[in-house]
Amino acid sequence: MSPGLADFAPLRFSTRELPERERLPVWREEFGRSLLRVDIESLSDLPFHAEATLRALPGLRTVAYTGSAARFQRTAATATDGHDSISFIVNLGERCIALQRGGEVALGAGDAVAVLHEEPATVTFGQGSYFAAIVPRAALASRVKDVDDATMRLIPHGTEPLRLLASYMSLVRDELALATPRLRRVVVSHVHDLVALALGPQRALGESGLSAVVAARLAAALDQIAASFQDPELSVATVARSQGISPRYLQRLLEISGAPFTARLTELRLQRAFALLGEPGPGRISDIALEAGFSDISHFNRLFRSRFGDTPRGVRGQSGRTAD
Amino acid sequence: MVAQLDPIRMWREEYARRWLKIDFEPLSDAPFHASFEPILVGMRIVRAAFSPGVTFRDEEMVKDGDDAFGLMIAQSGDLEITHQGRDLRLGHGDAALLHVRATGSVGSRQNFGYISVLIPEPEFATRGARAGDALMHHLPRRSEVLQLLRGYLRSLERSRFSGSAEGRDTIRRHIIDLAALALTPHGAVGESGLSAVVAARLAAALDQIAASFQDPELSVATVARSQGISPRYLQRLMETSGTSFTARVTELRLQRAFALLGEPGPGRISDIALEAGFSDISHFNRLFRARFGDTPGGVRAQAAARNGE
Repeated sequence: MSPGLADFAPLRFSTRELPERERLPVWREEFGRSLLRVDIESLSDLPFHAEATLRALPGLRTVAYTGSAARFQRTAATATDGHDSISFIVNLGERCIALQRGGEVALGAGDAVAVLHEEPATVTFGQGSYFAAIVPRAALASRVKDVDDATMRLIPHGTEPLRLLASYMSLVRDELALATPRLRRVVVSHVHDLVALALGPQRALGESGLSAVVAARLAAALDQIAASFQDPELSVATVARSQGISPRYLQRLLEISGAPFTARLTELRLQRAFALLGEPGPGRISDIALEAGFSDISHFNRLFRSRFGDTPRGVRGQSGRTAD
Repeated sequence: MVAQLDPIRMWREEYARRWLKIDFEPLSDAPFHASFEPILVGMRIVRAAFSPGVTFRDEEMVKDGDDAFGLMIAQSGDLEITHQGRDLRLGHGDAALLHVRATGSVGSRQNFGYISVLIPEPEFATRGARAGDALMHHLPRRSEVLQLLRGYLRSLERSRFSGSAEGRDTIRRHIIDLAALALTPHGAVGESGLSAVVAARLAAALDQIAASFQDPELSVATVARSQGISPRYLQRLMETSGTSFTARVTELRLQRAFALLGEPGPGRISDIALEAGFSDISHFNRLFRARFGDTPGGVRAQAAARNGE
């Protein structure tokens, strides 16, 4: 039976309706132990209060919390969720400290950190809010070079991908119904991408000061490449000609964009091949390579392997398994 | 911008027509202003704002061969769009898709603004979106996808995102994903309550219609028979896609006729109507005029002028 829309709706929890002395015990049991599998301890002398919104989509769980200062602890005993996922925590309140695998990260307001969701960890939140995106490790592993290495590192507030992720999450975690399966799929894959971007190395290129004209030319050239990369004959010369600029100027434009012509073309073709390999059905790998725009199969195999760390055949076998 | 002399003319000739590939005509004596802010490096996406008037692409400009589709997201109320013989009025946050290859105008009697996102057709196709079918539909601001897209763009602008090349490619892909989804009307193929089986049946029926609309004999009965379903069930399936059988077939035929009229060379209009799948010429003329606001002869004359014949 396919799940209904209600299964993806946000769940809201609040201590507001509870008598004061029951708040912490109920919260610990229902929110902490049953849902998050953590032990919760209040760090405030004032009466405990908390509100949370949880949402579970295929491939993404979100938690938004506002309340008293508290310590969330996952011990070896509670760390048996069985899933293999990463929790990306964004602190919106006072100071927050995360401890895991002997490491310690202190977060100010707006900072973020990724932790291994199923492993023992202690996270101490000050009074205020935080939100977390819990995503399958596998979704990040295909997007980030070394996921484990990217956990327990401070991601400072104001980092561009973090800001994008935070604003995307604010719509996703409770405002929108996400009424269709396709929209849910797209949204979840976007969140995976943005988490991966936030975990990846941050490079400041500082070329955002392009004039509108240069930006327009660059964009037109990139559009043409994106629209015709599957043509094996595509070259700097053909693109430059149809854009009405010199090949040399086109090369310079593309360098500004951070990837020279050949690198960009190859990446688009490899991504296309990767996507085609994930689609069900037969189809020879050499045909897929051709369709993606490669004309030399052994060249394709070499590039593919160094890009994705596996052969085209291996990738196809894997995607068959995960689809089951 | 130089304020002396004739700032509008300067701006139009030196800048807008040449680089932005649009032109502007003022609609009042209000002081002229225009601004363009690129939103993401590597993508043709800008926030544009103008004093009262219309921005347009005319016959001369569409000769540039640009074949992208433009999603226009209104950033002011009362945005009037004329394109492909149809008029739309967008409220703040609403959107509509235009084809850059054809002439059109976007404007208002007040100060106005929009975000324009230009996307090459293959990008839609690989995402399963039929951009050609979505032209000039009124996409309401309340749609979840548009809310996400506007929120995403706002966040990009606020953070003045520059990022890494990899980051920009990811974001470009996200914007196109959302734009492609925004075109799919609520309740269309594979959406909402439809089960996979129902969605597959609808898709098969739509494919058959798209492949054979030029046959004047095509009917609910013939499609239903070859799909192995009852005519009544086919009608209901079609309704879930947001249109009826007849409306869909007529639209495909009119679009085909419109395209054929734009091709150079002779050929009688009655032959074009027949080729598009119409069997009654006066019926065709009436439908064509209601749909594109001009006669078939008028559309052909315009196209010929455009092609420099």
